[in-house]
Amino acid sequence: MDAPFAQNPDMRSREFVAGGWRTLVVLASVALALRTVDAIPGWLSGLPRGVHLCPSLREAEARTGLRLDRIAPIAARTAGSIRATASPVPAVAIVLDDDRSQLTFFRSRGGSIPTLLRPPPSAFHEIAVPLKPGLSASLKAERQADGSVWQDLEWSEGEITTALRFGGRTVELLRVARQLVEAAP
Amino acid sequence: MGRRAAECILHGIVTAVVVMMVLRAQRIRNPEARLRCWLFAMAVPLLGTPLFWLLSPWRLDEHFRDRWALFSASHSSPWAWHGVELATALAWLLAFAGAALFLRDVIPFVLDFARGRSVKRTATSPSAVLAGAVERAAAALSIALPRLTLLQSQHPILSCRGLRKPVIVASTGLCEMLSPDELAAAIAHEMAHVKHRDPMLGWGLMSVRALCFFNPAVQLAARAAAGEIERRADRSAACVVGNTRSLVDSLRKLAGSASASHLSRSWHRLRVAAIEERCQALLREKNTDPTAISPWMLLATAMGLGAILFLTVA
Repeated sequence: MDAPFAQNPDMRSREFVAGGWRTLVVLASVALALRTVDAIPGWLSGLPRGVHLCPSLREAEARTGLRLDRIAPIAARTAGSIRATASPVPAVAIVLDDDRSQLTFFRSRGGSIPTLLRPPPSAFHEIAVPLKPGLSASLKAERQADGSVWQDLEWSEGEITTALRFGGRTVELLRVARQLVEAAP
Repeated sequence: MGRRAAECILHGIVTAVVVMMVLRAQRIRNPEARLRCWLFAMAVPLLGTPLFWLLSPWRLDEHFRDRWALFSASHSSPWAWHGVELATALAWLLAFAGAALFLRDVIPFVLDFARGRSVKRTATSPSAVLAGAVERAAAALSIALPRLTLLQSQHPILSCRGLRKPVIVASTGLCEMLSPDELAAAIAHEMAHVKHRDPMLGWGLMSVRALCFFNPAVQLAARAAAGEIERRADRSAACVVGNTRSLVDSLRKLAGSASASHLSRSWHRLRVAAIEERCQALLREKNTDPTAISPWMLLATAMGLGAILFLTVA
């Protein structure tokens, strides 16, 4: 831009608009690049945005503020993966494996367990099951694509919602659930 | 603390990238405007990021990170090695790079300073040519006549020192090496530093670098700012003497004769390359380049960048 160019108001305003567009493109590119870099770990690990894979229960507690030290009855099983999310409500999902069957433990505070962690069960059968006096849980049975039947047990105490998803026998699922309820403060 | 330092580094990098891209996109060549942009890039992680922490501490909550953040380092949690997350490892790596860049520049500077102090040089009265060059440059730049010290030394020495009362220090070796025109141009360059209070700015830059020694973006922005300070002085000197060629010749002679005895070879090579780049810029560019970016545009850019940084969490 030389002196005569700068003195021409029409050219100046045109240059101003072009400069504005260039700046906008720069800022948009940077924002897009940041968003892309942010999304890469999720794409590679298959985890949706906002769901974190935690290396330990302590890390999951730090991220969500949920107390997980009372799950001793099921913590003896090998923890396969610990996923946590803070939004829309703080929640964790812990996959526990043993040599017979797989158990997934869910817990959330202030609302139902987010679908990011637990897809809503497509139940063909649902009954209420008492866990202790004054506390009953909802037991749902759902059939998987491979024909196997999984059970989903969910109950709430105060603002804490807990759920267990299990591929084994109902009796064992209820035993684990009662142990958890008894262990709770 | 570590997470906050990481956020300073992250914001510094994003700001430096935006500044670099805006300077290119807007084709800003004026050293004054470029210097302001780089100073802004240094100020953001130093002042802007702590301001975010102060005004909106909830930015660091998981809910904000997951729902609103454009980028959150915590989203790289699936990538960990022996319990160390990738983001943490990267932050450490960048902090080491920042410290290396700081030490890379500060060690030769300190050594140079210490050796300069230990060597006793006798001062002598300036020659008429030298005194005349200083007087003419001071008149052209409309500044008070600074103190002039001529050292008895074979080495070509020319510098502008002093924070409050500037002093131009030259050596007899310099006067012998440069022709009168080249000497006038070199003196005009140092006088331009006096006019812009560059010694004070230089110490300010070094202080910020020491404060943000772990931030590679601040270190690189400070280097770029130092380069623009020199280019600004070059332009002022070219205006004063009205002859770019003599300034270029004096710069090349000084770069060629600079003693590498107490500087590492690579450092010396870098210095020569930087001076050659300045010479090319002087020969290529016109002195009539305007600032080319309006204050409104700067404000809009700063606000846009502020919004991006607000949504960028370590």
